Formats: sequence, structure tokens, C-alpha cells
Amino acid sequence: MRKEPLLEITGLRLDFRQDDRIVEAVRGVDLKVFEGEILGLVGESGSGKSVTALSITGLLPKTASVRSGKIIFDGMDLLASPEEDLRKVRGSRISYVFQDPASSLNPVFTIGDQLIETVVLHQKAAGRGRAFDIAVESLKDVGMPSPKELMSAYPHQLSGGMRQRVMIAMAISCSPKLLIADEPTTALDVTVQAQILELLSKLKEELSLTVILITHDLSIVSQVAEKTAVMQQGSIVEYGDTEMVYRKPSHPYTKKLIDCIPKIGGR
Amino acid sequence: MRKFNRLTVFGFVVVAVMACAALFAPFITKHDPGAIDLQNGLMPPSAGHIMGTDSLGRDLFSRMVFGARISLSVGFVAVGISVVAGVIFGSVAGYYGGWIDSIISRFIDIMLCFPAFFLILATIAVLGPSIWNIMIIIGLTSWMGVARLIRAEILSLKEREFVEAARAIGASDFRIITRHLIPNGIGPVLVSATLGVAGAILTESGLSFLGLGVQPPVPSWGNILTEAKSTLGIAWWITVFPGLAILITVLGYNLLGEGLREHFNPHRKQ
Repeated sequence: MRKEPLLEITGLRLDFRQDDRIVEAVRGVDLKVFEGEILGLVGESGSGKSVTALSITGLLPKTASVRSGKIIFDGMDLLASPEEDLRKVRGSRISYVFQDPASSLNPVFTIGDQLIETVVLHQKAAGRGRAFDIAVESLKDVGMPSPKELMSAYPHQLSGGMRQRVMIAMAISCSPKLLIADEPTTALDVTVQAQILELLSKLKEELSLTVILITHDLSIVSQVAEKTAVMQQGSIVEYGDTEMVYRKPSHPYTKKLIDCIPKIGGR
Repeated sequence: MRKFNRLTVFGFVVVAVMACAALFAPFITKHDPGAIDLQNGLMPPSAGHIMGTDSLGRDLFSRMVFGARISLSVGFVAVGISVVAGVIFGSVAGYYGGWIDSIISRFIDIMLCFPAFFLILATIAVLGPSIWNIMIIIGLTSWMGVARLIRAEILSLKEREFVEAARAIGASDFRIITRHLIPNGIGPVLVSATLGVAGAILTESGLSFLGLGVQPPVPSWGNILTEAKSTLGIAWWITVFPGLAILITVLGYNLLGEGLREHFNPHRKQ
């Protein structure tokens, strides 16, 4: 019944070069993401989860390079594609939401300008009028009240949670197939975190999105993700249905991570 | 909106008055700046000629006002050229870094080694003095400061997350530089451009005074001063008015520029 995965990463290895030192950041990652699911990618800082995500569309910093591996997205070999093609994929078919919504928006432009830019970049034929409608529509999708007024607001006028919603609106405005959310809730307080997670699951259902949710917090993954992959020191040490991973962790590192989740009343 | 201090307002008023005078020159002068009236030469200021006349009987006020056109437009065009060149070189160097940055930065260092005024003199000696040559040459010898400013701004801005976010939505390098980086880093450049206008006006006056700038009979503040040299002892007004005009205008631009710098300085005490 399950068809081809939407995204398949095989044997991905990449390293960082600094002066003469070479640091292996990702050591042979295999990962499959199927259409319409939320995959939680969990690991501590420096475990390679973010660079793995960035490498998917070639957004790695200059000091990092992919040594070997294959990334197939929807039949397209991304690592073998030229920059020009990758740029068309970014934002339109694979989009990102980053950790810090405070600095992810350009401070000198209005929310509307930035949303419209995204739409116009990928749908040149759309024109500004149509792009405006699409932008308003995506703001509505992420549950923003009075989206029309919001279009002329500047980023500093919004709260952290609202900014992150705007970032998500921007990410979904070109109806991508895959949304990569890199620690989307880390910079937000707990109540807003819950709202954002709820929003991600809602969007997944409504827009048939596939989501990779990157986080260091296993409790977040357990709330929304169907599948969980645990990364440690550049490799995936555990992968499976979230239920199974959570209940019967096979790797000692996963057990430790689960022990990290605070429980009311102790054990 | 934070308030500007008094000196800045004074600078702004001076700049605005000079700009209006230049813009509406034909409407605020009674006499043709080129009309020669030898019988009324070297007349001191009076009701008919409020700044007096020069040795050829031309109305000094008209010449001053039309001279303002020349001096200010040289200032603006020269600074325009230097800002455009500086922003292009500086943003490319700052964004791409590596060997591109090294080459551009060394080129800036080399350009800064030349004493600008002598470079200008030498170039004009070869190309010949004309108002266009002066604008271009002043512009091309003063872009280095702007380039350094914008390079430094972009070096820090490009590490911000919104640049990565822009790349993640599929923006090209060109788009990131022009849409996201330059608008965020242009503030200090505008301040230095304001100060640059003052410098360009001074340079133009200096060149015209030496006879290498704007050529007579076209009036500019610098060449009015040159003509005044020979009659300095008997007609003070021909020297004093253009001198004052240069002084006040340069002062005005400097005060405005300093005020803007202060205004945009985030560390300013309230």
C-alpha cells in the first residue's frame, strides 16, 4: 500500500572544513519520508540534524561539503542538480521554517512585501494582485486574525508567536510538498509552542503537507509526529513509528532522551 | 519620532534654501547672470544689485544663484556616482568574501593611497576641464569610503537569519543583495553621502578657483572667486559673497550629515 517515499536520503556523509581540520558532521544517514506524514528528527545540538536538513536543498554553509550520498525528492536527484534548479525547488516545493522568527524576517519590509516576494519569485505569471490574494490566503491558513491589515505591518510590531505564524505562512504560500521546520518552537514560550505544533498538524491535514520536524525535545515529537528518527553524532541510531520508539526504545541514547522528558509526579 | 537637535535643523534649512535657490534660479533673479554692463562695473551692493556687480558689470546676485545650480549639481552628481560605485563594489566584496573581497579591498587600499586632489588635477589636465568631467572624476575618486561602509554592514548582515530564510525561499544572490542586504545597510551610506556632498562642493570650488573646473562665462562659486582675485582691494563684495556661500553651504551639509549620523546612532543617549 505504501508507495515510493517522497524524500529518500541514502548514505549521506558530509563534513566541515576549517583551515586544516576536517570534522565529520553527518556519517552515513539513511532516511525515508513518506507523503503526508510528520517525521520528527530528534537529537542534541551538533548531532547533525540541521545540516542534514539544509543539505536537502543545498543550503549548506560554504565551509561544509557533501562527501557522498544521494537525496531523491519526488524523483529528482537533488545533490546532482545545479544551483539554478535547486533555487526553483526552494520555497516552492520544499520550504523551511527556522528557529528564530525574530531574525528570520527582514526588518525593513512589511509582512506583505515579504510574503508577496515569495509568491512572485516562484509564480512569475501571478502578478502582484494575485500574489496579494495568495499571501492573504496563507495568512488565513495559519490562523492570523485580520490578515489584510497584517500585510502592512512591520515584523517588529508582531509578537514572537505571530512572527512564527508569518514564517509558516510564507513557507506554505507556494503550496510546497515538503515543509522542513528546524526547531520551530524553540524560541517561543510553552503555550505558543503548543499552538504552533497544533497549527503544523492542522496544515498537514488540510494541505496534505509532508513535514520534517527537527527538534531536540522528544516531547514535542511525541505530540505530533507519526515517525521518529533519533540522531546522535551524525548517524541515525533509531527510526520507527513514534509510538514504538517512545514505548520500546531500542537504543540506549533514545532511552536517555525519553528519561529527559519531565513527568508530573515523578516516576 | 526622535527629535533632531537645533544645529541639524539649521543644516537642513541651509541645504533646503540653497537647493530652492538653485532650483528656481530664473525666478528669483532680476538680471541675466551673463549680461555685461561695463558702465556699471564694480558697483557696491545697492537696491538694484543687492550683492553689487563685478568688473564687467554683471549682477553678482544672479551669478551667485546660477552658480549655486552648478556647484550643487556637481556635488549631487559626483556623490551619486560615488555612492553607486561604492555600493556595488562594497556589497559584492562583503557578500561573496574570499578572493573577490581580497581583490576589491586591495583595490580600495590602492585608490586611497593616491592624494585625490592631485589625481583629479592630473586627470583633468589630460581630459580637459568640463563640468561633466569634474562630476565623474570627483565621483570616481571618492567611492572608497562608501564601499568600505557598505562592505562592513553587509559582512554583519549576511549572517542574520533572514538572509538564510531568503535563500530558503529560493531567492538568488542578486535578489538577496539588492532586496535584503542593501536596504538594511544603506543608513550609514546616506549619512556619509550627505557629508560627501560638502566635500564635492569644496573640491569643485577649489578646481574652479584654479581654473581647472567650471569654465567662464558659466558661473560657479569657485570661478567667481577667481575673477574676484584681481579686484580684491577695491571690491570686497565679489570675494566675500561666494566665499560665504561656500562656507555656509558646506557647513550646512556637514551639520545635516552629523545630525543624521547622531540620529541613526543606536547608542545615542536619550
